[in-house]
Amino acid sequence: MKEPKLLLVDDVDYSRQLLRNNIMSLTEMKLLKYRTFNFFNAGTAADAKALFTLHQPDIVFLDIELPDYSGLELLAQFKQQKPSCFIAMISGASTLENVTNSIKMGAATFIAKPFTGDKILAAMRLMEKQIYLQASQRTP
Amino acid sequence: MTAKKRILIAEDDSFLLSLLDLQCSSLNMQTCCVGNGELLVAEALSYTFDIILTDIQMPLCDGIEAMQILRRLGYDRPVFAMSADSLECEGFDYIFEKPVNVELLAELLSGTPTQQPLPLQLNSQLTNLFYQNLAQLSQDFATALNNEEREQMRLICHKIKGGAASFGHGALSQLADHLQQRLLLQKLDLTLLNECQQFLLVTQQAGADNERT
Repeated sequence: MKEPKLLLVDDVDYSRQLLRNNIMSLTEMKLLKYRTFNFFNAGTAADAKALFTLHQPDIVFLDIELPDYSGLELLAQFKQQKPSCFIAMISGASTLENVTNSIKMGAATFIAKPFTGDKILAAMRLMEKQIYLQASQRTP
Repeated sequence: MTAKKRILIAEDDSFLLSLLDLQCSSLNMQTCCVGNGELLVAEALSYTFDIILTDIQMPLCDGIEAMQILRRLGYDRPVFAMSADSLECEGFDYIFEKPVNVELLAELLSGTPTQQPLPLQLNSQLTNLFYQNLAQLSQDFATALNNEEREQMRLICHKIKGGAASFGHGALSQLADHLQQRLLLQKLDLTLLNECQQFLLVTQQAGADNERT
């Protein structure tokens, strides 16, 4: 199984580290099918754009509230560049507006901060389901 | 003693909501009640409920739309609906006809598994990073308060709200959430400035507490 590339976009260092640690922990606990991921980190929208273009990640965890501009704008650009990319939006404000805008713009899921183990697991399980579905659609 | 199952109930009729709250509590459930579909989606995304029980016709976002949003986001826990009319809709685990038959509700609730919460993995390095960040945010908040920069203070509250609860500071997170809403909607008068001052004190002590340990 190919190692998926995972881009973490959040301006808070410990949030990115927390996500990474917990995703790794899910693989160690064998709660996911994937055993490893290739992680990339960005603290600003500009860095995220550069890393996305360079690495074309399979999965992105994208905070809506970034210092340079909105994660929602970035979401639209990423989906245009790579429609198959699984994007989980993250926000401290789980308003219906944020959630429905994210869905409309192509996000696969939405994680409301604060992070919990269950929220991260639910997002990763959905990602595996969708990647598996995409792979089975490609195979005749 | 086994942990109580947690149920999220959404119903816009306050009398029916109180009744369902009472019925579910008497069935040994821990309840959380909301009055519209928007709050239902926000609460459900906390992933702390074993069961959702929702009315169909509600303001802001109806029960079907709320369920479809949650399913679209990968929410795979049981969602029960209550409808005054007969209804067929994919995505609900069961649809009750109103008035809800309490015996049937009890049977379905007892057959629903209790979710085992998955603990967040936090090591000392991560915790130190959090406290360093909180100390910096606390300093930034003091500067913003001194300059009476309302929007800057609101943004800092938003950040603290998002992070603090993951590190055991649930009360600080709630306080930050409350203050960010006040800063968004209200003028920066003396009362609000005093609240900001108190909030600053709390954030400074949350950091100092860590330094002692």
